[in-house]
Amino acid sequence: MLRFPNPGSNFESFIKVFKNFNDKLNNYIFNLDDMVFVTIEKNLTSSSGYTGSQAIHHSTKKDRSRDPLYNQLKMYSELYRLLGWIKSIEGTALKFLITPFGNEIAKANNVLELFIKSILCISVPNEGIVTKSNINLRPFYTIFKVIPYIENKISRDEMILSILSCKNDYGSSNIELIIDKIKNIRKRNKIDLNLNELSESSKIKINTLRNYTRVPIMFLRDTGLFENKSNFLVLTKEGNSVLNFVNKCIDFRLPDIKNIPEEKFNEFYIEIYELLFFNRKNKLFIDKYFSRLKIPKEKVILFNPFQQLNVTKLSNIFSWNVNKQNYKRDLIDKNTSNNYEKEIKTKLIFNPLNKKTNQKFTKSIPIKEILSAKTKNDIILISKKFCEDIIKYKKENFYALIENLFNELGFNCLNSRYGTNAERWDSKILYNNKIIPIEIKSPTEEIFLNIKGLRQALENKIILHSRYKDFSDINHSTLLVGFKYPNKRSDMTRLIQDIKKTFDIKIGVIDFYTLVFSFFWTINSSQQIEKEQILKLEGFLEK
Amino acid sequence: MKAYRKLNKLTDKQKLEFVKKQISFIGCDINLKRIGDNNMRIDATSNFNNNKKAIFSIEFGNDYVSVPRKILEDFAVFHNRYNIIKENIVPFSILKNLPSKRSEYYQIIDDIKDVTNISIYTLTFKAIENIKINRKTIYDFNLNEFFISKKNYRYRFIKNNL
Repeated sequence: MLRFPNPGSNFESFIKVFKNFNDKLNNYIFNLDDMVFVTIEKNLTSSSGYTGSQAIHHSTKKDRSRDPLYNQLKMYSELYRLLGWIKSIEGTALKFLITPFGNEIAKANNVLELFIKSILCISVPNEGIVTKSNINLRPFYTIFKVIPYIENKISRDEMILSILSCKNDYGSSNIELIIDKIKNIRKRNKIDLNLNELSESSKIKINTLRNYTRVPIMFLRDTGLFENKSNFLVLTKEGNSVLNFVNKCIDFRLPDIKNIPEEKFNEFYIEIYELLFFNRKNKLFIDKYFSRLKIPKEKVILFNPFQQLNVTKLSNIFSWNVNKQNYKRDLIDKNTSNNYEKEIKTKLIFNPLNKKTNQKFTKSIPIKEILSAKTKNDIILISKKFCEDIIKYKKENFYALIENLFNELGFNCLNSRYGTNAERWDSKILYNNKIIPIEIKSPTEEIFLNIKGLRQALENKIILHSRYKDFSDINHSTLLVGFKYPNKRSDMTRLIQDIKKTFDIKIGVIDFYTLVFSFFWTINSSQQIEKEQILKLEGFLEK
Repeated sequence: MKAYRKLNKLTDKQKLEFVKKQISFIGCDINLKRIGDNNMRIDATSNFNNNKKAIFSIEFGNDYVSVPRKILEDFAVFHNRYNIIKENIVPFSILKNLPSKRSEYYQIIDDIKDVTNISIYTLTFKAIENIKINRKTIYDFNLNEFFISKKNYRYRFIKNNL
């Protein structure tokens, strides 16, 4: 099974990342960490929501196999090696050099043409990459060879079953076997069964098998050679002209070249490379070798030395200087620490009760149960029960309930009139002539609070501070109240801290249950809530 | 502008690719957010005048007021997470056209400038097209030309209405 790693399914990024390598690393020997560094430096990739040195910091793990950036760049390196754009230096697989061919690719105006020829030349085995499986495969060339016989289309699963898992596609008889196999698959219409069999025999899960096709599909689709149509990759006009080119080519692989009894290999390699990629014809060479190999003169030998030979041979053939210095990274500040709190929350504080408020509540309160509750757990249970049927509450009822709850907790809370644009917040707390805006999300709008609510809470504070400066105190929070906290609070927590550090604005988040529990607990324990903690709340309020 | 009218028929990805191409014509080579990358919230970013970074929030519909909100979030993330100083972040709101004169959008742009001192620059498809057909780039303009607010809700460099 030929496995293509998947560092990202976007052709444009694939080329951009390589061009950046060529700019920064062309004159050096480099390793995967250097590749990570120059890619991050150019913001071409991110990790855990960060770019720059923070991305490296968040990605770097002791166990390199779990380091996302390192692995992503490792996958890029495997593909670039398959294409002959970079080479591992002799004796160590994870130290690389950019090849003269890679350099041509990075600078070329006709990248697409060179790239298409590169993928046609991908074949295993070769001297550049060691594979465990004993296969003889030239996948992209084979796809073009079989495509006219299978209605100019191929599906992802057909590609897995007939091409990537094929052991030998060399020669016309093997190509015919592949065509027959695809025709049979279509005839039997039991592709899932075939995939299951392959999955069991190769011990690779079906999803993983399918993931191996992401990059080949991206190569074929994003180059415009094929287009997606009802679960098939269908040959396009551009693909058809490449098909004509493929038909002009001779499928030469490493063993063929080795079988040529000729001492002047260097000349041979240089000329077939120049002819294939740059169309530079050397008549003397064609006369000499083509007739000896019994190849018609109009044909092109499909063989790229940079994809097939090892670095020592290439250095010798192309007079390529491989004795280069190791790349030296600018020092990255390893002390850059994650300055985010995992979760910012405030525990509810209650004080002795001074004054009891008597608001008319819009929902009946289980007052008897609350008063007879003996423990905090009883109040928790009563609160949870009370919250159960609120999930069906629409905007108007939910907003009214929130207003009631804040008022019961001793605040002066007032909802905005619906449709009043000047007051963009849904509700407000009036406190010592200042306004604390409240953004409310009813359960019918969204059950779990999210980032959108934070954005609105931030906007509320900015509008308040700009339009009603006298009523705004930057030390007071802007509140977001909704039905439930999200299961994973990390995204919201990080954004709350980003906003605080950037704009010095505090956002407090309260869920319905916490408000209900606070209210019921004040009744049960004859206490009142510590107001300041709500007015200056940052992050989530917790019971 | 015909091409813009056909935008509705495109997929989200195609729309973004289209806008990317248009913006590249006026001198900004932008990187689009990878689809499915939930960590990266910013629609697009680019280098700006060598030492600055531009962030773009793109709205294809009529939800104009959501754009400044999104930009504030992007700005905070870019500043705090990516360690880019505030002065070096240039936020752009990309809209299909300018909102009506009565829209809250302009007032919010002014509020944000007043409280945070951040200027959000607005580029409509027509403004981009106008810069493009006059063979200019965004760098040929003073950025204030794109600061569309309640006091100044029209582009001065475009004679006809928008």
